[in-house]
Amino acid sequence: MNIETSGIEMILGGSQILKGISLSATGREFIGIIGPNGSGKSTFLKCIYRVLKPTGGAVMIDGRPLEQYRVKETAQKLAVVSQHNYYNFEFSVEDIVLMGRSPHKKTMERDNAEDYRIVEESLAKVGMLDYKGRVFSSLSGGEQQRIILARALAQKTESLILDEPTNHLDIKYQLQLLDIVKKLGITVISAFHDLNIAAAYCDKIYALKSGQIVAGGTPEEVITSRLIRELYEVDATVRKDEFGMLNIVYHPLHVRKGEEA
Amino acid sequence: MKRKLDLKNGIVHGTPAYIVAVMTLLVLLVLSILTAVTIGSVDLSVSDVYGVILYKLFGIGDPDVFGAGAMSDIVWFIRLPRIMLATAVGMGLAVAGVVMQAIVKNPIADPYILGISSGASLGATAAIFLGVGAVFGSNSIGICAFIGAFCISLLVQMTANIGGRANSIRLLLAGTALSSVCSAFSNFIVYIGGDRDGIQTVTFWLMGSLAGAKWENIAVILPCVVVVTLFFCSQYRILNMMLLGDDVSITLGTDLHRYRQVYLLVSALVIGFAVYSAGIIGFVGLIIPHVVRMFFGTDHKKMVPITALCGSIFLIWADVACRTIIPKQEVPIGILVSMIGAPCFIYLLVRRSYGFGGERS
Amino acid sequence: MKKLAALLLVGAMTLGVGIVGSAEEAATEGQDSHYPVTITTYNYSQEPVEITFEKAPERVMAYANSNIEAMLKMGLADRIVMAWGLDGEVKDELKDEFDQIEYLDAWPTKEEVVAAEPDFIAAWYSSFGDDRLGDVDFWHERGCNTYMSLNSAAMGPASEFPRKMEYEFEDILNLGKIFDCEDKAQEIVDEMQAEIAKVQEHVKDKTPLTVAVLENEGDSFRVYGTETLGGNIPESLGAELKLGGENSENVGAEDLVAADPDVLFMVDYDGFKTGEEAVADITEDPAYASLSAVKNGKVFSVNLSQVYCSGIRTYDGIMTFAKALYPELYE
Repeated sequence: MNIETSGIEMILGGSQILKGISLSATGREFIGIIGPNGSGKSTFLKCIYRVLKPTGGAVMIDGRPLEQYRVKETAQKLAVVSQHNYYNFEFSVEDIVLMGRSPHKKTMERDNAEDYRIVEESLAKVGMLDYKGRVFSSLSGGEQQRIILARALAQKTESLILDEPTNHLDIKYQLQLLDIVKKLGITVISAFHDLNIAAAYCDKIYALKSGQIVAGGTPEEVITSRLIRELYEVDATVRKDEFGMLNIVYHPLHVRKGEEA
Repeated sequence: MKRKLDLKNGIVHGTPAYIVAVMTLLVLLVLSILTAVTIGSVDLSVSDVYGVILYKLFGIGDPDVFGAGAMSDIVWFIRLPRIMLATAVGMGLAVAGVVMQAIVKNPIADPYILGISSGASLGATAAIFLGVGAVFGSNSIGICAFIGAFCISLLVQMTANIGGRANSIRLLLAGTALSSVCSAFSNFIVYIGGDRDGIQTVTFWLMGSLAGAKWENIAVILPCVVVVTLFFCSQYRILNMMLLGDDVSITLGTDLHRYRQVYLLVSALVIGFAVYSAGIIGFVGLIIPHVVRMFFGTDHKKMVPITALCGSIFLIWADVACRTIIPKQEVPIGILVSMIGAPCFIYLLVRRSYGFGGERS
Repeated sequence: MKKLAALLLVGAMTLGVGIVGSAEEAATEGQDSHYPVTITTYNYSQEPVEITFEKAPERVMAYANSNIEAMLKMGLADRIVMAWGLDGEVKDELKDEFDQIEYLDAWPTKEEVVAAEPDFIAAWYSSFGDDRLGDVDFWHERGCNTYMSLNSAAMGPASEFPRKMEYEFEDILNLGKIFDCEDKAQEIVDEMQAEIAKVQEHVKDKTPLTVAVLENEGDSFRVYGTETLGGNIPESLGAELKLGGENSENVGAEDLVAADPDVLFMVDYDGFKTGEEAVADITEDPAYASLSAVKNGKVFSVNLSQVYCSGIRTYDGIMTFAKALYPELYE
């Protein structure tokens, strides 16, 4: 699967949120997008998954512009796990995951045995098969996000977009969820808040600031003390640990004050 | 200890529990109709009642006894039309309630939430006090109510679409606003009209009644309601998605906008019919979907058919209660439904700690 | 605009009277053998419907004072199978006849009415609503004729078809025709008309007294104006309506004080107020002390049953107004 964006621009409420974003993801690449709050990460991803329509530029999927696909076709190509999934009604876990099959269904078509098999398979992949009959809203935040991931898996797509899905989750669940995604071996574009986690999972990282890409490349190339300073106005040390993982350590203000004294 | 049957996901002898429930309810519906038809203010023997039905439906029996006369008229032209109307209206309101709750993504929605009842009231008031729609003859009140209901639901959609695509919040706002406009105008007409008989007619009509049941109307309304119910049974996937919201639905390959419009029009048609033939009967469209959801979950695949049948059965018995609860007097069905329905609903709420899904873990 | 409406109104009325007139002729033609009799009545859409009687009805449902009392007075108690809907008690003079009939305290259900197998229903417009007996065609199809009291909105709303004493007379005469007792009916009507003639003769060339007929609704007064029976009776008796001369819109206390009619009538009815209470509402309220009717002791009560689909009580209505307006005539 190949996702390519060229010069995406977005004007919302009179202010330009995105100022020409071009990037691409192919094959089994895990692409990360980092940047401070309001840098346009989420807006950009929404342009890809069609909740927003960019005011300029183009999104190409497998070489064809996004607008040429029907909404149903894009949902067969890319699935989304986003940050907020709160429902006013009590659905069972199975109901939720089964909805992942809808891109493959005609309007009046009923669910068949194959759909139920895929639902079970997806739940098994996220380790939640035992929760099939539970009420979705009664689950913990981490469990809920795994169910939403299972729904995305049930879409059987070749790519996945994660819109800060691990926000508000305990670290255990963050890692658990991303591990599952990483193992899928499909194209992934994900927004990240936590740089350590981004560095741990991404093949390529793009850094966004004020709607522009300020850096792009492997985690090692992108995540540097200088960039962190530029993006977040925070001092940090970046080093590699014994497993070869990038390790970002921030220097909070009060610590620096102590050094100065 | 006996294991509790899980209605939401259970399997009974290899068939999903909800299909078993639908079958059971269908049988119950038929039994309800057959029982209700034997109940009335005039004492008729059960065999006579069924004799009339058998004769009218299949031509079996003695035409002199069952084909004409007071007994035949009571069963065939007074009791049965009412019961069939209750079946149709109950089904229509319950299904419309489910659909409205999905469209506006709000569990407190009922069939009348998007201004439809106020539109209908305005139509009826205009017919009663201003003589609007006199060309429709004796059905003018109902027809004006239908037109009012339908126009308002169109207007609500148009308003909600001004300056951007309608979503559930915009629909609710437009509905609430237009609804108060309509109520204000109805009140104005009533106030200015000030005619005692007129006020009585409006009140009676607003409280709802199945007394106006006629075969000619049922022949249109019942098939229409059944077709709409079957249609919504086939739309369960999209109804489910409506509850997840527009954004999630797009990622699942469905743009809800168009569906919302179609569903609104189809429901407005059914609600308009219900209003036309029975006035405004509140609570059925709110309570039945919730009760069903408590037992069977939110999945519309199960909800739509079960709610439809429960709505019918509920209204048949509510109407029987109306006719029998106070001897010699008929309680308006709208009042009775709320009086009995609301406490039952609260009881269920407390007993089953059902949170409308409003609680978060 | 108003002129046009008035023209239409007059036109419609002439038409209505014309129809009734023709029915009358039809009846007189076949005088030697009274039946079949054809009468014009109305359906729930307020359209005229012709009904034909082959013989006098024998199983009658009678609703409300107007129909019940008229039938009792004409000696038709034995024809009534079911009666209901009296406002208050039946007239004293009819108590004996009343005891012979089956009277229900509440509305019968449609089912019960069907089961009683009536051949004639005499009721009001509102009786044939879906919530009561259902429209007249249901009954006609089953060989049961119907009659709708003309002043009960049979022809249309009061604003288009003003209520009049003449319609009460017509109701009584029609019932007479239906039951082949026209003489008795004519006698009842003659008595009323004689009283009216007497009063009209008396008031000729006199300055008309101004009156208002009101019902206290708490925050305002319901006006019995020219298009209601309550306004038509005093007008026919030579009085001028100070309030409600053009329409019957409710008025407030100020309007009443400003209008200051010579004679004031307050409506009472069973379950609302007694006559004394209705009068006291005005006479004991200091706000109305300046009214000349109050000062001169010219505040009277009138019972609703005498001014609303009054039937034979139209006579009592005439007497109530006449005695209050022209006491000199009855000394």
